[in-house]
Amino acid sequence: MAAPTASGWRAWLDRIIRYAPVISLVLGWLTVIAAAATLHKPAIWWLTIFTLPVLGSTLYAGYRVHQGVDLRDPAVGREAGPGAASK
Amino acid sequence: MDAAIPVGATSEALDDFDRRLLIGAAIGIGLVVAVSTPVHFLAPSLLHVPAAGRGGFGQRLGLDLISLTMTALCAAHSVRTFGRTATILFIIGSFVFTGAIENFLVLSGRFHLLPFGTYTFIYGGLLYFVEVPVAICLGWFTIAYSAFFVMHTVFRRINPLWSALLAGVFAMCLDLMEDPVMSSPAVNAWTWLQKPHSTLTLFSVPVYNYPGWLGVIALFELLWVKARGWEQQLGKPVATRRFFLGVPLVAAVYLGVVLGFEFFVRAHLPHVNLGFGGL
Repeated sequence: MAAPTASGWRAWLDRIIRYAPVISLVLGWLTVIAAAATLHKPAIWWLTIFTLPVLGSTLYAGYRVHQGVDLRDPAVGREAGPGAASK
Repeated sequence: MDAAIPVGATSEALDDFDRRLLIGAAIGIGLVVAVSTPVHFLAPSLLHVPAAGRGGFGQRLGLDLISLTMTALCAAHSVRTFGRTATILFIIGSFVFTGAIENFLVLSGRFHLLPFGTYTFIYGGLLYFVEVPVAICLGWFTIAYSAFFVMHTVFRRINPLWSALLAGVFAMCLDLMEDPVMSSPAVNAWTWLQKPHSTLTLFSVPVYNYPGWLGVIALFELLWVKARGWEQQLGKPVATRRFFLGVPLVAAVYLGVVLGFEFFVRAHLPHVNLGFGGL
């Protein structure tokens, strides 16, 4: 397998930064779920209901970022094209 | 209603003001961490550090590294989205804001300055900001910033002040599962010191914790959004001065409301646990 080039690493880092808030929230959610799995209390899973809006809105935000919503623009909501938020 | 957040410079080099702000904060926070970390580990009796809070070098190092990595990624995202000054204000402000509030609650409960126990952190990283793990302060930044970004992305046409409030609701929803799980005896990342049935609890966690999460995120972000407006209208120095004068003021208001709520609950509401299935 060819070693990634410097520009390849930079592109990956750009992509990770672009989704950083989404990644951090999903990782946080997964951490809580993993910890809940160690409790052996079936009732704990009912509490995931409260976190579903969190997960849902986070994933939706990730989808909007993927679509290229550019929050830097004062006219928030203007579609700036794919990848605009990371430039 | 204007839905736009004033946008700071994202591409220009770090100017003198930002550089001085960053260096000053790094020195101030660094000194507190440099003093309190050895005190926590080498002189635990000084601040009555619980015995269960020591040990686990690899786990502590991992927690610090993960927190630092996520903080760096979110900070880089924030610089691109809201500009350098706004990012610096968010990071320093949230670190100091949450650090001060959490330390006040942890230490006042530990030293019986309040008529009820509060909570203490059992697991933390290698670095401490007085008696709160640095990983907690950094984690607070990533949650607060990410929640604001998600709410502002999902509800793009609303005023940013509403995004701040919704971010508080967002964080509270997350905590409705996080706190019962992470403070449960089996996980024990932190522990609540109030005895069962000494106050009103929801899923075994004192009920004031939940509006507390809403308030702590929403109030800080409201101040931050206002500071972004001040930066555009009055310039960086005035905005920064107002912001950092506002941080302790908002923290005091927050503590007054949250602790007042708990005093009211203890005095007037039944001391029962609202839960089910052992929660």
